[in-house]
Amino acid sequence: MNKLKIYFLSLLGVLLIASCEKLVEVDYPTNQIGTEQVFEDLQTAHAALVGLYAGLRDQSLITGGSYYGAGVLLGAYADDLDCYYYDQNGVVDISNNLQQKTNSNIETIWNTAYQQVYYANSIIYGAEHSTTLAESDRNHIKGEALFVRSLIYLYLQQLFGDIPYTASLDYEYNSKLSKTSAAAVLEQLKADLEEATSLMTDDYRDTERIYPNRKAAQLLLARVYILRQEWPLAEQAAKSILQSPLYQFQPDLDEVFHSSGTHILWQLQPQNSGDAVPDASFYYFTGSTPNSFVVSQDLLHTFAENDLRKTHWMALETFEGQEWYRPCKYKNLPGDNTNEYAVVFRLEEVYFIMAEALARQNRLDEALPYLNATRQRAGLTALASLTGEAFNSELLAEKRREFFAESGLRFFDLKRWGRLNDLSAVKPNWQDYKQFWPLPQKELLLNTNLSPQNTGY
Amino acid sequence: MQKDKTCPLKLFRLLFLRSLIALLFVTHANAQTITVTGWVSDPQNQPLPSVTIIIKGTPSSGTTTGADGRYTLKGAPPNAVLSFSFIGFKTQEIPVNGQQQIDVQLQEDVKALSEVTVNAGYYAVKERERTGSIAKITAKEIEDQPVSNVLSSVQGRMAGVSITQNSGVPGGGYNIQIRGINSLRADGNYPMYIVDGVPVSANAGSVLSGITFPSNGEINPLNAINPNDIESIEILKDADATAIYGSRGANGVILVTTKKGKAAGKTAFSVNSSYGISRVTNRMEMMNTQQYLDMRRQGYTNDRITKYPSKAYDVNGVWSQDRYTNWQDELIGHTAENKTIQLSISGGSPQTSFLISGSHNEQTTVFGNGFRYKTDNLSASLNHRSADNKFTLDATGLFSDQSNNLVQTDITKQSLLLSPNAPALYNANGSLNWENNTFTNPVAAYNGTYSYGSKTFNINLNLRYELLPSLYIKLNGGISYQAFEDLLLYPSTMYNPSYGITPSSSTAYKSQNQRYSYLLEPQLNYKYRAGDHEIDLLAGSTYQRTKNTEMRVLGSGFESNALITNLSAANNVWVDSDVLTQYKYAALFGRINYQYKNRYIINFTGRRDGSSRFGPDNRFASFGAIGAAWLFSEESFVKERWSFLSSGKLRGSYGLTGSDLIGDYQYLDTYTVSSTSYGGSTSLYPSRLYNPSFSWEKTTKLEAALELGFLNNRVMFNAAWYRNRSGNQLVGIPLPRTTGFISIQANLPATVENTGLEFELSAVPVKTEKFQWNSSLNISFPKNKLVSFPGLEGSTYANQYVVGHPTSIVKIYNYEGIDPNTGLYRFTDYNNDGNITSPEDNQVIKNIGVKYFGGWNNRLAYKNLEFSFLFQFVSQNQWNYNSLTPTPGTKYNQPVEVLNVWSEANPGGQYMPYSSGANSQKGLLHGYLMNSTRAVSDASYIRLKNVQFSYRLPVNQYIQNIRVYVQGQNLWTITNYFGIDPEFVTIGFLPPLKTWSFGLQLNF
Repeated sequence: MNKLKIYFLSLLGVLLIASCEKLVEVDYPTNQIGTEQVFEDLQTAHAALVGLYAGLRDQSLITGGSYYGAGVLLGAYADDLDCYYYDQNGVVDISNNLQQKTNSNIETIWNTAYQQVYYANSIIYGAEHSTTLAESDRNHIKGEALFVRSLIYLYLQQLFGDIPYTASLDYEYNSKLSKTSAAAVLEQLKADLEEATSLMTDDYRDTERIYPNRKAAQLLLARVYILRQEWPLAEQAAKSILQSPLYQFQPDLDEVFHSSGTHILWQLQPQNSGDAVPDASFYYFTGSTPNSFVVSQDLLHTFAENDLRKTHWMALETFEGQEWYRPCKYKNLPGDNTNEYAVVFRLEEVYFIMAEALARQNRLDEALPYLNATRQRAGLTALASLTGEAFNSELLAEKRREFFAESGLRFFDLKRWGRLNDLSAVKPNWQDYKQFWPLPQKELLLNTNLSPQNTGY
Repeated sequence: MQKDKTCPLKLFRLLFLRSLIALLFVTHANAQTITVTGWVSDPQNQPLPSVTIIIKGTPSSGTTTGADGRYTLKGAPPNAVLSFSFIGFKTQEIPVNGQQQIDVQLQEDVKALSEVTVNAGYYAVKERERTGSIAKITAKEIEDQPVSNVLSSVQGRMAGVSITQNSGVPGGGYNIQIRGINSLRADGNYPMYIVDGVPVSANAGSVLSGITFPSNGEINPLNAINPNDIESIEILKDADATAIYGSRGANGVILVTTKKGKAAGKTAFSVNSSYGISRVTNRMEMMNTQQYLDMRRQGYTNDRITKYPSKAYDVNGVWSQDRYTNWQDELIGHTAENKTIQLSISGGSPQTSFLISGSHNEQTTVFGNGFRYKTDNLSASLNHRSADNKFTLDATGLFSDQSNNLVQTDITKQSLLLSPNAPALYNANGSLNWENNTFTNPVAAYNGTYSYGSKTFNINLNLRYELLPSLYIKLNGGISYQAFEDLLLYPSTMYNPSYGITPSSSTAYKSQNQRYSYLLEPQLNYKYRAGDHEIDLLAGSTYQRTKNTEMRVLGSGFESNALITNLSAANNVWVDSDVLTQYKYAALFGRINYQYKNRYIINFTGRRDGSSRFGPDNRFASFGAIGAAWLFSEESFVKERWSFLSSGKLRGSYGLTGSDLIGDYQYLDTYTVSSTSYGGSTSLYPSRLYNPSFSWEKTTKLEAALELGFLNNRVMFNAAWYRNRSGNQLVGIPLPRTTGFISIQANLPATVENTGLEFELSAVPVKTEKFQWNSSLNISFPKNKLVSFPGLEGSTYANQYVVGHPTSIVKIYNYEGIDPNTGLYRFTDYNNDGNITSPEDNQVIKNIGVKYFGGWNNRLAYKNLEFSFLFQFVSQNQWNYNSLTPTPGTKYNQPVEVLNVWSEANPGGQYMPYSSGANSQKGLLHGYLMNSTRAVSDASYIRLKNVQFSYRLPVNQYIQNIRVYVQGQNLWTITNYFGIDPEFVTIGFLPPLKTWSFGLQLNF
């Protein structure tokens, strides 16, 4: 018993006295790295960028084949797609132009967009304050993050009009943001992208072009220029891409969505080998009525009978005597995909930007070849000279045929050309105020500085 | 008729016994002393072991009864008086008068109940000397109920403790509120669980379990303990009882004590087996096919749609319009079975005793389809005391193995919403029917299973040594280990074949969580008594370390679904999460208890805590309480004037407790590794918004209570008032998403107050030799209020809380009725802007929560028969079915109440004319309805919670006793609630089930 006594007493003594700081110190959890540490090393800094790209690929406005991506939602919001999906206060309402300020999809889009903005801001801050990364690394990391942030902001601006813009990480500041006017946002984006192009280089980090380079940033900058009606600048930006030896026009329609093409400026690689591009499975259905969305009659009618895109980029499905065309630009189903990545920017868009910039400067003859390129690839004859309004209409129509269900370009084009109200012909619920989506109601409740809500909602 | 036969035998026996007695008498008549033998029993004729028998006047001579209740006392003078005493029973004195056989039946001493001790965690206290608020139930109440988690048997039995089962699916969680909700943080309200002295994690689930179980996938830790292994449950409520748990005591403490072997008994075996069946408590009356199709067609007519859309299979002729299925019968109408068997062995010597118990339990679900929950438990306890009584050792080991296999999404909601003319679930050949790809077959979801296996191991060791007289040194130590594995499957067969999904898209998640924790608590305890003074001192320290590992792997793409549970067969495998986290906790604690004249008691408790959950500058804090009691019935002026008062106590306490329930590492500025990869590289994401300066949430508790006993304590009455105030609220403050995140961890200068009154009345209305009726009633009136919230108006909580109202309020639209001109719902437009908008117009404040609750428990015993029943009652407001149901007229079934639709001919109709879904205005208005005064209503209920009927068969020489019992749970409910069942935490999940169980217990 004496031994026991001693043992007890000593243990008690140790534990009674030892109640100090050391006892409650813990190591970092094994799945976390200190923020400063992330930007001490190129590998971890790149991993932070990977988080950004994975987010863009999996759930963002540029994610194709998603109920939260612009390709699908804006395709249906405008006149390219018909909705066969069913939900409440979500996709169906957006397709019918009946979105409420509580729309769950709009809320998700907003939330993920600003989350990605924060990630980008965090990376920009990390790169700027790194003391160990080489300057060139700091530059391209910051440039890529700036580029991604600008891409998100541009979509947000186009969807919501005036938006809160922030480059800060301070949550107190960010929780009281006011809206920045659309014009000011575009001006800011121009500055941001000009900085990004100066920080990035033409070299791709990966030969498969899965990370953006300076040219991708220039394309985005060109989108901003045409929105700001800075036609010569847009022309110049487009020209620098067209003149680059990195890119060649893809003459084969069936190769446009194959990942090896040199007409691709930037594409998103699926996570695993074999994974399908979201678009491929999203629109897919067979032996039933459609599950998600099909090509609208209105869009179908804009294709000439012999337009190859109607047979190569769409698939006809029949069920109980009814016919539908589903978008089929990407064809490989899950488990079966080796050569398709989700294309974000392709050279064809630069052709259309060039055509628009030239046409707006009344250089229609110079513009025409850029318009004819995709026509001819689709098996159509080149158009002879067009004038004024006819050229503009044809530009819009041809871009629609080329980019249907891609990135929401149709909606942005109609908006830029001031033709959104044309939608009333096929969309019974269309009204002028619907050019903007409502800000999520929850957001307005949490931050009154964001008031007023967009008109009409 | 048998009289004749027995007559000779009786005669013989009589003669034999008489002569034997005579012989013995003669033998001893000459001696100075005699030997007395006999049998001591309780009022139920059960043998009473360990009864002390002494010869009055010579306390040194005496004996005790054995496990069979028998005793032998040698050397008693023939004229002696024997005294029979035992705790809880009235002492009886019987003159020997030369008898050599004295059988005694001891009567229970009701007053002695106050001698019962209550476990307060670090110390035990006599019920009469208790200064704090501690509720208790014992094995007696627990074993009456056919439940697999002991918390179900606490429901309705404790004042101030509100318990709701999260769902009727076995193996899930419970919502427990001990004196209300203190924290604004939803997951900051878990009580602390301590099993045999060792803390266990309040949620035994994982990330994946959140897909299947409501309330964040909570799996209750007490699922791992067989209720029949539990000796008692004590719930600590006020400051006096909880402050010694410091930073973890704010939400109350649940102490679980398992059964121990009884010293000095013969080796006893016990077998207990039961079989039960369970069904849903209630079904909603939904529309039949005719009513449903009429509604649908009317919806299209109202929307001026003449050609039914191609997708409207229910009305456009693709599906048969003559079919009718009651989907509640089909999907949640199965009978669940419940089988239990338990074996135990106990025994020991005066120094050492043991108890070993093993049990197996199996439950199926009302979903059918072979889903099953199984538990195996093995528990062992060993208690030893040295011959000189100076050293004691108590060791307990609890092992449990649970496995649960379930459909991953609760199908209850589907069973209500599915069109009544939807096609058959299965084809003639037994395969799933997709009705040519037009039918989203609900049981296809059954292919997507969620299953878990949980192995837990708890060991507790408690050593005590009497160093000097009355000075004890103690060590409480323990290990708690849990290995939790789960598997979530998404095979391609879950999906409609028209999606073209093949096994190459099948996905399986597998996760493994291990929680390992150890605890060391050395303590010193000193008891001093001199004259009228009594002091009890306790000092100790705690060191706890917890290590959690989590590994979650995702596999996708299989050659065949048959291989889906084996991730090595997946085309792509990636590790979703691989993380090790630590939690360290250290503390010093103490208690000073002083009693004067056995009637004035004062109790100080305190604790200084350090926790790794806070940033380096905020790790330590101090907590403490003072409690006092006055046993005024001991005062002579009370004794003289109020002799009917057999006991009376006033007590009160005040103190500070805390909460550190925020998860680990929230103060760090980090990036988190994610399995999501791009370009073949893994990714890093910012973990959270950075705030290193948050600290403890603090709750001050104040209580006053009166405890009275009348008529020799045959009637007991307790009343308690409490006021708890929680400040420095530790919450994730909601942020606008422009900050990149949903919230930030911080202390909020808001104060939440919980006040309440609790009453308990217990009585023994009838007590005769053969018949006894015990009855007890408890009722609690909890009140929750947000007392202050500086800056609420400008904060992100502005539309969630209102100062002066409970924190469980909802702000909803005011439903005015149906506009007779338009036939549309009308809501109050508070700001008169012509639009119904939020937050301007959802101005009606309703409290979702309990107004009062309680239980009425009765136990009637007649000879060997026992009958008990418990009524539980709850008065509350809840969301009703209007908050869940989709727009009437869309492709979802509706309750028959929706038939009462408004029209000019039926101006009293309660629902707007139907819409197929194409009328967006109606969709919008229905959305307001779902969030209006129509969607919140009274959900009070009275429930026959438990009925138990048992019969003890007479004993024979081999079998000590046989007990046969029938038990029922949730048998009968009275409610006006509009919905499937008023007892729920999250609407739309399977409510608790109704159970009948039959069992047999053998002791030998």
